[in-house]
Amino acid sequence: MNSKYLIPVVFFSLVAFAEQELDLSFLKGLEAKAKESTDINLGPEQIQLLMGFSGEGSKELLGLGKSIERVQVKTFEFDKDGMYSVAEMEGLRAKLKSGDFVPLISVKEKGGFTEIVMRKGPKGNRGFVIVSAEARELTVVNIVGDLDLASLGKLTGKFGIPNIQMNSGGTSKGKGSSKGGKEDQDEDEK
Amino acid sequence: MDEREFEEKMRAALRPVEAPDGLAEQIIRRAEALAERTRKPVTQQAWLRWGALAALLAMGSFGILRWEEKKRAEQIEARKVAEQFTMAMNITTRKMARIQKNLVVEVPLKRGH
Repeated sequence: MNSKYLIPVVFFSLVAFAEQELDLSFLKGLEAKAKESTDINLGPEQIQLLMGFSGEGSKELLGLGKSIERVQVKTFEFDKDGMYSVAEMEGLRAKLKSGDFVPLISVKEKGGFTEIVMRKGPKGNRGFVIVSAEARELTVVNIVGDLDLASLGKLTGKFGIPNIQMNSGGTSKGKGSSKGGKEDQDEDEK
Repeated sequence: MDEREFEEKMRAALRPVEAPDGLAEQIIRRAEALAERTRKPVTQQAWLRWGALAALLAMGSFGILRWEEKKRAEQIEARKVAEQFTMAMNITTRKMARIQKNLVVEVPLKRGH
């Protein structure tokens, strides 16, 4: 390849790669205020490692892992309202409404919102982002890869993931088969 | 020089000459001394052979140990990643289900009003 084309190609590839990871640095410091928090950031290298050591019994996980390139999850649970800046979350929301993102579900609630956006690539879906800002709970999920939401449904009831029905007319129902499922059921009962 | 003269000279040059006394023994003695000087003791040779083998074994064992250690570390890392991956999927599916549930619940309520 001619070097005059190589530099822009490398540059845009790097930019595209960097864009896959959401900049959530504005959430730094919230861990200290939160009752519970989760921070997961798995890049291509770690997912490759996972695939290399996956047991035979986890074909679904292996299949899903093959199509996933990045998993970024941040959750915070607070004791009281107003522990984070909704304005900053709105900033992230606005960012997700531009570029390669296509809004799928957008719900405005009292004191917060929920947004699900699909990331569009040249060959179809390139993952999705979930931003859920509730009064006492904050969740950001960024999954990059050639997968859709239906692929996730195949994982329910396995690997400790609660048995949740994620169909068009279905309701969320925990069967209590796992710890997570029980928690979900309890949550539903409340 | 004519032919006859040449033959006489050749004959004189090639006539058998007796070796001085003790020359053969002297040569044999010198050869033995030289061999003795260059020959390493049997014990030293054995040490070298065993030493080389031990070094080879040590290097091999070290390599295997390092490889196993690396593999174990990767396995631990992979297990950690698997846990995180499962947790991430858990959070995602749970969140999706909650969003779906809220949507399903909210739509009929709005229709009722």
